Amino acid sequence: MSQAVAKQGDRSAKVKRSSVLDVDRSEEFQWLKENAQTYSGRWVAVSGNELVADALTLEELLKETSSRVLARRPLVHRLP
Amino acid sequence: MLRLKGEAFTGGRARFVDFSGKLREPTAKVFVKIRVSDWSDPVLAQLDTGAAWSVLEPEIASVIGVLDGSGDPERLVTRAGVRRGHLVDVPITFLADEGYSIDIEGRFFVDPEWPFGSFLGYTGLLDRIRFALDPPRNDFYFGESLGRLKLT
Repeated sequence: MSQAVAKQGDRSAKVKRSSVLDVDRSEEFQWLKENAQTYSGRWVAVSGNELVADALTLEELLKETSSRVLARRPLVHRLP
Repeated sequence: MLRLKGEAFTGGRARFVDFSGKLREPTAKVFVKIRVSDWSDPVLAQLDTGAAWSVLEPEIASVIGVLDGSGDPERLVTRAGVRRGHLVDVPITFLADEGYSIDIEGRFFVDPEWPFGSFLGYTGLLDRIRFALDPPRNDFYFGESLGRLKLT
């Protein structure tokens, strides 16, 4: 096996169907679009059209969200 | 199930978001939802068939424990110069809103000083699945490759 092929890994690697489904995140996407400038450079956790938490680092964000009881897991993203 | 000429094409559909944020190159980019390893929160990653490798943001790499310098050393030429890091295999899930999600182990470039977000590149990840975009509807279709389709 060439070095290049070895680096690419196994192209026939198994793709498995998963029973895990997410929900339509259109509300979260809209929130991100509307608030991208305000939270630029920060990690945000958004559920529906509400901000659950924001922080400068992902570690801080997860500390805040881990203690919260939420109807669904928040979408996590760092805004550029 | 998305069908093409009566044959199964893909099994999952999810909304994607296209926004630019405060990027140097301000046109919209496609971001899709994934779950990384066993971390339960969905995150966004930029779909980029032109990227040499998939890239994991260092803070996410740290959360799932792959920021330890293990893996194959690799260099990546970017708009910010040459980056040095390692290639690691990371299980991810492409999350569906409808149909079914898919689990796959992808090969990601990890650089502790990587200044951009996460990318889903062609080699070692997208070259292993079937996918399609419907930009007017912001729909991302994906699934395992189910054999060559007949178009006649």
